[in-house]
Amino acid sequence: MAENTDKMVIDGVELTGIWKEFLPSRILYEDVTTEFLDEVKKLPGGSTIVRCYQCGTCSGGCTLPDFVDKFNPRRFIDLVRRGHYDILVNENKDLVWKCVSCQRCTHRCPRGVNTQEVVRAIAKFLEDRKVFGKLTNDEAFDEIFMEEVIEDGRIDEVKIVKDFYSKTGRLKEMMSSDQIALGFKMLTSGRIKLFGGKIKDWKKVSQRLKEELQ
Amino acid sequence: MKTVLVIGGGVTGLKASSELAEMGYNVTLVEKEDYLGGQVAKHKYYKLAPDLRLAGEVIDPVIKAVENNSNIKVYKHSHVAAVSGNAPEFKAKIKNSKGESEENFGAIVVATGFEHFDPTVKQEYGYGRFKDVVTNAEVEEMLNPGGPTNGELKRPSDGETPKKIAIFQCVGSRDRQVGNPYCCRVGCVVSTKQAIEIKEKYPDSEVYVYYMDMRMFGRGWEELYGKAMEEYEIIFTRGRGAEVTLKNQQLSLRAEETIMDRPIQHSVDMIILAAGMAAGEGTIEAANVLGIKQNDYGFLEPKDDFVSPNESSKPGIFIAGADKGPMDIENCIVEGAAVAAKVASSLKN
Amino acid sequence: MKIGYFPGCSLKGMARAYDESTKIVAEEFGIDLMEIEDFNCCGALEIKGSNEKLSYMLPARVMDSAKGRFNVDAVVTPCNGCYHSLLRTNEAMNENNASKGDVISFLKDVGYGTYEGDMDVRHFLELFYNEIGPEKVKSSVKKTLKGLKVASYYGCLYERPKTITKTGYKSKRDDSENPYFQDELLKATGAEVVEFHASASCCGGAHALQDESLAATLSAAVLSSAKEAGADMLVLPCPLCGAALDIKQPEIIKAHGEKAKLPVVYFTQLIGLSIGKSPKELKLSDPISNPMEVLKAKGLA
Repeated sequence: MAENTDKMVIDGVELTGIWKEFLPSRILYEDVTTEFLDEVKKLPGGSTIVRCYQCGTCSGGCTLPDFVDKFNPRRFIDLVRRGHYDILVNENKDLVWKCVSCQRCTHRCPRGVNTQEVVRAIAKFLEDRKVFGKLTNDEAFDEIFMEEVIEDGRIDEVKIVKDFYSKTGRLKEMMSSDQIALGFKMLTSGRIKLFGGKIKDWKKVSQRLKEELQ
Repeated sequence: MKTVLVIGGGVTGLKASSELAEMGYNVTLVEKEDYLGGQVAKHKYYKLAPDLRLAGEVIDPVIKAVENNSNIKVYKHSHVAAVSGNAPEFKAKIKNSKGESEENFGAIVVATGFEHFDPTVKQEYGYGRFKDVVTNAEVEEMLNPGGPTNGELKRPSDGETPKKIAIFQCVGSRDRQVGNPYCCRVGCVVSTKQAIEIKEKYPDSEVYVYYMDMRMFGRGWEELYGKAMEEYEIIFTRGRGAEVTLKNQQLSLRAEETIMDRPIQHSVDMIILAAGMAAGEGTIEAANVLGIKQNDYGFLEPKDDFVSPNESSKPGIFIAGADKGPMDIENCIVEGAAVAAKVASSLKN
Repeated sequence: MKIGYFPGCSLKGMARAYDESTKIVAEEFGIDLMEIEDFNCCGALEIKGSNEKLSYMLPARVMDSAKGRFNVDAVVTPCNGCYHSLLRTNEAMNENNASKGDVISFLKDVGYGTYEGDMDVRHFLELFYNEIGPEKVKSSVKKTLKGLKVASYYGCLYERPKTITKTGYKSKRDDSENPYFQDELLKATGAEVVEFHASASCCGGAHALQDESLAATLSAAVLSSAKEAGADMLVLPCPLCGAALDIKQPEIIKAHGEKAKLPVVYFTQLIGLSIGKSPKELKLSDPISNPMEVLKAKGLA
């Protein structure tokens, strides 16, 4: 920055010299790399990212912008495709994982991008790169879910909620009086069964699924 | 002298017929509707882009050239039910309500054209559910003084003139979800033309065009695009229409302003869908009867796009115009003349 | 018609009212449901985001069992999430997804090896609308629900994405932007269906645990818009939306106030009520959001 000291005047204001140091550059240094795209493409649900032509149908009809400012699936895809990793991480990492899977995007995409799954893949890409600095709620939940499905074949809602709170260090919250009252009501009404049904011969399936994961 | 069978009485078929007749050939023209002029007549196209000249100025002489030529026999409300034989000895069965006749032909020209894409399947745009969501073809009919509203743009719901109008581009085009991944090649210029016509007639109105790319590649199209912005202050927004809903009895659209990275919510009085071109039933029927190749989208496939663009996959059967894929009127007329020349040279050999 | 019934995990847990009322209503209207007893979890969103192959294997096993063990030609599920997983697997198999071979050999190893992507997957709401329909419901009503105002809510995966639900393309599918099957069935019970613009909005349920405050905000938007529209209760065809809108309702109210307080029931419970089934069998006391209070007040329970 210092070497360019030519006089620059915009709207009568001189912006060279010391003043220039205060202005962040608006220039985007395009240095396209497909490294990130290649990675996202290989993640579950990520393959259709290459079809996107940036029309904005997904983001135009998206559920989230009304609730989460700047949530924009089209832009996430663009940043990955063009390799703008820093912008993706700095400005979007707390947005990407917010997707609630309402499927409006995938539903309407004229290019057949499976947008919801691509957005999830981008979030997973960031998770894999450890940009969150901790286990995210999604990661934690997905892991428990996977474990329990493979082990028992079915999901026991109480068990999964308990394990999720425990894994994310929030077991105390679960023990709040509200939650206990709710649990008691469901238990006495029979909506919570302490011993869930087991699937006959699941062991064999479970073993086979474990092999798939290796 | 051999007789040539031309299937389809739209611009292309008309032009091919009159050119062939002028060269001295006998022509039998078969048209499924009871009028000539194809989609131009069907939807009462009013003015043509980019010059905004009356469509009648272009189409009427082409129709007259056919009607006034004694070498051309026209069967309206008819269709070709069966074809047998090989070039240059074809036998075709022509059917209509009066009966059926079999005639001999030396060559066949297929000019069955296109049909406007039916946007009903794009449920997010609410066509068929919201009365004030209309197609570009319906707007053509409205703007024509001989049309159902005597040339006035009116909201179907209440007959009022809309003040705020949004046009959605690429409806049923560039859309692999509906199986039409191709560009319709006319939507951009037709929308721009209609926006200008509306602003000219109703200077107080506001017209917004929601687009992905403005593909102004034809003669004078880019200039028309400039004119739309400079002289008519039409607003072009880069973002494809995402959905249409009804909010407090008013149409409300969502899209993304992709240049600003922000979603738009926009209340308007009328939405015009720039519905693209699809292969029509006539084209599919002709392909089945004649056994000629179609591409993935139902359009007819030339023997070779570069070397023999007007020959079908079968010798002696020729194809031209919008049955090969989206095409504007100007180029359809060129195609009509080109196929006539090709037929003439093939019959000479 | 023999139909395999895939209730999914939720209906065997917190949404048992939906399971039982579905069975009651099906039996009453002569739909022969054959429960796929050894069903496993469909994998839901979580497996889909973690392992693509598994996300097809799990639903495939359910459909394979339906075909191989119970010999049915269609599988019906009352759960939007299961419906999505099954249809998605069908679609992947029919599109020759790279995992297809692995899925088939998985089924040969641990199942019956009968499923290859050719299962007719139905949502119970869609099936009930098409096979029974509002007219039959109307003529079976023993206790009209007249005077009850309901908001008919569908959730997301019942009609979206059309890439797999084929809404708009396939007959017998609801309108994806303006679903009406449930509305019509509810009208047939005598209930008044209020005009409600959030009927296909998202309740945020997919993130009910992972992102509680956002999920609560989305849920509150659905509940309050139904309440504003004058509804006495919200009716739905999905146990996941049920969990988000009913079980989580005390928390939602805490964050967003009384405007989000609204009883939530499954459509099968109301249809059952209208044909004379007791609130007890239909488990109308189950919902945390307490629909019994308003039903009693209206003399319907």
